[in-house]
Amino acid sequence: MIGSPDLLAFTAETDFREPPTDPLALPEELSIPLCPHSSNSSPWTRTSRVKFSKDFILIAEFSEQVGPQPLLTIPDETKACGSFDLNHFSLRIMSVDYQTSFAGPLGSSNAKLNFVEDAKVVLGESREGAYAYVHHLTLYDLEARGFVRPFCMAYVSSQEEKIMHHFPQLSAEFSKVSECLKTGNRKNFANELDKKLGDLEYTRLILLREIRREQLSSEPVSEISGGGEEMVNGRFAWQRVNEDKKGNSSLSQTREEEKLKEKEGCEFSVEEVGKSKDMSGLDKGNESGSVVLSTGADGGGNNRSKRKERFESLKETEEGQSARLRWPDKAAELASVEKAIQEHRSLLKQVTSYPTRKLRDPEFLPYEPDDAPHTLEPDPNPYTQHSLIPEPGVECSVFTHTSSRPPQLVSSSSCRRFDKRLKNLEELCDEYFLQQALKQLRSIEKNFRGDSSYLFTRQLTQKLLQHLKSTNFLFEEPCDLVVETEQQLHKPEVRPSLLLPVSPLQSEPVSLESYTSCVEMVPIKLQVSMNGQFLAEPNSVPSSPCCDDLALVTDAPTECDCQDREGVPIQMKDSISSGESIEVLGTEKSFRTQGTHISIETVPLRPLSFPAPFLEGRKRRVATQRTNSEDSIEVLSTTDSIIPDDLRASYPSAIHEETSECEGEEKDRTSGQEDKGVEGCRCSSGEAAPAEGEEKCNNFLRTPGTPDTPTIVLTPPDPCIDFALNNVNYLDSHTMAGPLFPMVDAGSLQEGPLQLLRDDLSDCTSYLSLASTASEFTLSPDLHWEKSVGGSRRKRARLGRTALRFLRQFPFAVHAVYSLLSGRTLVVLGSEETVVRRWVTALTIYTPHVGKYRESIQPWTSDPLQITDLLTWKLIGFNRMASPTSPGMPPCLVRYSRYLSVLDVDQRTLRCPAYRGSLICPLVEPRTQIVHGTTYYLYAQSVISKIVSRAFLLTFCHSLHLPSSQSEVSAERCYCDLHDDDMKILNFLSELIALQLTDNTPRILRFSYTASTVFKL
Amino acid sequence: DLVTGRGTFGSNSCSQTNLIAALCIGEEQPKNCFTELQVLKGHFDIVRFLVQIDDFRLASAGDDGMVLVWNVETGERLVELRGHTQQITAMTSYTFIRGGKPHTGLITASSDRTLVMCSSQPDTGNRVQTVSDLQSSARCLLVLSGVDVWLSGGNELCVWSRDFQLQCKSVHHRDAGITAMVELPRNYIAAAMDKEIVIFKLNLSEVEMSVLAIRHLADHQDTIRALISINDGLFASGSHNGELILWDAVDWTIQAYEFILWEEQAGDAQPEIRVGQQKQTDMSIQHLATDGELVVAAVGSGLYVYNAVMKTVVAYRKIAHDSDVLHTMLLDNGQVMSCSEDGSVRIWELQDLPLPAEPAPSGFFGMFGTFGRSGKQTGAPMKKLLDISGLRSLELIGDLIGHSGAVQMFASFGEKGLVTCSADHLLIAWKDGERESQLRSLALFQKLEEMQGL
Repeated sequence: MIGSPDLLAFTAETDFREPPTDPLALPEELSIPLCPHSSNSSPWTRTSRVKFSKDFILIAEFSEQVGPQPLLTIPDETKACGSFDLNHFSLRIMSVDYQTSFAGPLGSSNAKLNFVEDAKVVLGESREGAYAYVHHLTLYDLEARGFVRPFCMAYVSSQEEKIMHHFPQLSAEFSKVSECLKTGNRKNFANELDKKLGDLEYTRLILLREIRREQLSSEPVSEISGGGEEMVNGRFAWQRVNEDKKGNSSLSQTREEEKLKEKEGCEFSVEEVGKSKDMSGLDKGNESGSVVLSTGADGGGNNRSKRKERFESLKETEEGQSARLRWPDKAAELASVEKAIQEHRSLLKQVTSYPTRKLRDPEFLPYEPDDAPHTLEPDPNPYTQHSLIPEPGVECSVFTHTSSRPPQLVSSSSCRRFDKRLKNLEELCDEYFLQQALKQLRSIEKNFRGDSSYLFTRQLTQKLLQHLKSTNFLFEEPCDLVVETEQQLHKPEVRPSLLLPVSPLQSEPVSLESYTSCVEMVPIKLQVSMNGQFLAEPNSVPSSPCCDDLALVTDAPTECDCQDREGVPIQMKDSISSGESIEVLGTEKSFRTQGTHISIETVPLRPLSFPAPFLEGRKRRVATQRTNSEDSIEVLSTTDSIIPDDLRASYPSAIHEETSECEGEEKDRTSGQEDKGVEGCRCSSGEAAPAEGEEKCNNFLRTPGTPDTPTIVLTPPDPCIDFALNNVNYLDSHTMAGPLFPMVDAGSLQEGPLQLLRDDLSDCTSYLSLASTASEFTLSPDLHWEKSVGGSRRKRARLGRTALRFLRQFPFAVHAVYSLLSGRTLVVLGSEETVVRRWVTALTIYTPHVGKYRESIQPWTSDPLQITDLLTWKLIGFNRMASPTSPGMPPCLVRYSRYLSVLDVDQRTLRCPAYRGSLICPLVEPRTQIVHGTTYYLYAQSVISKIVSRAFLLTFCHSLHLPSSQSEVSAERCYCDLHDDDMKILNFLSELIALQLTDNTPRILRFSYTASTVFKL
Repeated sequence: DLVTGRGTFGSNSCSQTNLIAALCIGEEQPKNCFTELQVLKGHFDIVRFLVQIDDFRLASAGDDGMVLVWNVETGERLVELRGHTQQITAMTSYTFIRGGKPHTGLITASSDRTLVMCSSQPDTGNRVQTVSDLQSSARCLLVLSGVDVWLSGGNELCVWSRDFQLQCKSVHHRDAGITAMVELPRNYIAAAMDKEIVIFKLNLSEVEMSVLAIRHLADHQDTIRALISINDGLFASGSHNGELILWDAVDWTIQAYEFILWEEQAGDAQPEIRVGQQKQTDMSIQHLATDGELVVAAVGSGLYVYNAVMKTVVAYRKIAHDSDVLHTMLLDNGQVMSCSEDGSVRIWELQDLPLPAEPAPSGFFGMFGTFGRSGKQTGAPMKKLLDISGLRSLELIGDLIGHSGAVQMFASFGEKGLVTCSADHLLIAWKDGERESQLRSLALFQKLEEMQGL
């Protein structure tokens, strides 16, 4: 028996409280949400009885033949899942099928595609202790039932909170993956359709000839021409076009001529098909590694002649074929084939015009390969990446055995074979897109790796750091400064240059030529742009060589088309309950008509953490969607995919009635709040009015997410997990107080610098509170963005470890740190590059970023230093061997010795001004106490943060800069007890802050004339 | 006999230690206020000339033929002028009144035998006037602001009006050119031509302006390297072999004669014998600077300070730099600044000597023994210094290290800083870090005020 999985209520108890009105409270953007974990529990991972060792991503399919089955996991099954029963789990997550499965056409024989929005659900398997974010999506498959194959991607974790708190991020990330998969699938589906159409056309041709032959055999020879004429009138559109093109009326052709024509036409069509198969051929060829690229005229000519030969032979076998295939009723067969052609054409039109329609939507973001940062890393398998992609602009014809696949006869009876092996994911989705999707999934797995508390604090840090624009440039890693989702802002949107391609199928008669060329219409983004520059993005070059033709072969929809479509009721079906675990999702209609009490919330179309421009855009889209969908079921959650309005309109049969079953289910749960869900959706960007919020709250409170009652998670209304910069004040949520984040006494933070000085070391938050926020200064957009947070975590650990090692190895480390923090360039001098680089890495933590990120660090150089280098480089690894003539100190170092501190790693000496202060001693003290690199890294950051906060205050102390005014004695007093060396550090940092704030960064070198001391081990 | 110097000096036991201590000043320089530097990049070749335009603007010129105008306060490059195809040999600023407002132009002379005058105001559209058909390239320029003409000296002396019209010129000297000029009272001009000083009379009273050489002063034994006007009554010239002569500005008589000779071995042999053994440039007077009373001479790699009023030697230091001193300056606060081929700028202070030592036997002027030109202060022999009342010592109080080539020249902007130019194509603006920091802080507060908070 399959038990129902637990659907978890996506709730929070204290969401929509009044914001605190305490005037002394921290500004909203700097307040810290207290630990969101339920009270009195440890924020750290509790040992659970799950059988898998770490979180993983599962892709499962609801196969129409064998039911739910797992397809793949990330990381590999053996690594992640342990003894966890994937089969059972996929059964569970797929047993709730929120997708519209194809319910059969109503009132129309035309096949149509369901463009279904993805569904996002959080499920829990309480018995196993496994929780999952499940993202349902459908892929198209010509051979599948209703042309759809339901899939789902699931993020499986043992921590419920983790999934709950990161729902928006998960949703956004998985939506991207889904979009990628679907794009690749549409491409393959179009190819498949095209192939099928070719077969159908060929079949029709054969059938027609058979019929004509029968007629001819029964008629006298003298009427051949007349009969021919009739035949021609009934010919296919493509043949007519073909003839017209040749300027030949051909109405009175001899039979032989006609035969020739037919042959040409056939060849023509197949050639087109072959051309269109280049893409698929590429894919397949790539899989087998046998792609033959031939770009010359020779190759083409050879192929052409080859094809002709092949067609001649084909022609010869034609008779036999047609003789072998005996249709019982040729006329009926012809009719059914023609109908199939119409169906397939409409399908092709739908699938190919899908991206077009999306492009017309101003909000549409075409699939962007989100791997620009990854290209920095070496691609483990570059062959698959690049061999796929022909050079843009180069006419590239790929001829493989598939490209000249002879059309096959299809019989209507064999159109649906359910015993056939279903395509696997690789066949369903274009190779390139599949790889991209998998890459993204791996990146998701990496980014969400780790304890939820860790992720939570990381997000908190990022969010808070973003507000400290006046100081955060100094020591923070840029990846901490950019909230992940916001990264997308830095990439200017680029639309494909080929805009508004519309399927040529709208204009009748449809020629074979036109439909084959439209197969290549899967628009793929050609370029990604970074920093406003268009960069050739090799990974995203489409495999279609003639995508430039798109705009040419397509034209805009006609006016009447649009008019026809208006007023047609639209229906989007979202969920169908399956089996015992019937989970009914609220529909908009049900909210309207009956009202509902179910704890349903619409998911914002974008995670709340998306920045304002996004939100605005999305909101607009929500509105338009609503006007369109008066009666449609409210979408559980939408991805970026867009409801194809024109498509739905042109195929009225695509409208489904809501199943009464669903309504019945919902009736039980409805209450009088029918409109709340709708309202909530409208305010989905987290700007819900307080009153509404309260009501929502009530809703949540009324439906606690107990495991036994299936509750449906529809939305993340919880602003508590919204780590975006706007709107939410966390201080209010005292119920969320946890051990990790003790309640901050907001008032105490405002008392001024004097108190701050006596703050204990751990309170790095105090400086956060004092740093002001809305500076004009913006981060330079081209900060090196390290996407892989997991990587950055490892990097931090490594940095911390090497720093610790440095501290242990060099007892005089504090003087070196002092040099760095007071702006004196430190040269690590050595003859071995690895050693020098290691110590440079160790000292990176203490190096303030002057100018652009990492610009101030030069890990290894052999060139003699110039004075201009000293203006930018603050930490230099210098090759002693660069000047072999002077074995001691290179001359340039001697020359500029007054500006330099030199750490000689070969002789283990340090020559620099001695530090006699106390401010930075905490940085080097823990060399014995702290063991772990990460711990030290974070500790060092907190110490440095404290120093930075004092420097920030110093920057804004009038009295210190204007000796004449004696008004602010307290501020002076607060600094006068500092040692001169400490003042130097603060002055230097303060100077950097001032320069940054005034946007005026003349390259200057501050120095002081102080004697150096040589420290020796 | 003019060969004999005014005084002879013995040794002072403390001078060696002084010297070494002073030159190895180390990194603690409490009196050195230049604690911030800014690099001004723009030239492509040796930068040789700096001319201060006003209290914040500076023009630089060099072998790349370019003239760049800088804002010293911000380090911003204001104007870029490319009027010459070859290296610039002389540059001066020229302030004139036009339309009631003072205008400052820059006059440059180049080896391509052109003269260019351009406005240094970036807002006035860089009007450039060029004269290109000169007989010889000008090597020095002099502005006579009193009569509103300016002169160019090459192989002949040309007089130009404000509007760049040639007023008159002297006879052409085929073999020798004018290397320096100073203005004397009553429209007389002293020009240095090889070993002579030629006095020209500029005749303005007639209809046509005329210039005439009326006197040749041939008292220098060697080529004259430097010629300056000290005050209204005196001008000074220095020659390649170390002669420093003070002249009366009115009747052109010699007021003082100093033969600066760093003697190889103190108190021993006659200097005449040693001259040939020493490198010429050791005594060559490269540059003279004055504040109206004191004259600083850059003698080889040493410095020599002379009181032109008292006609006494004030201070001297044979090894002030590791290489030839190229430019010197007397600062307002009594400090002496010098720059050298060794790439450093040094700041000196005139300090009273401690108790004078016992008088030394008489000898010729010159005190230090052989020093390697590298300036290694090792194995310096005993020195003698004759106690002379009023003799002070030149103490190094700071040095500026930044250039990687010879520092050709510097220009001081008072408390706003100092700009040096060098053979490494760079200009460096040296500033008082404290002051700059306060200015930046003020700018920040001003910005905050404008923005109403951060």
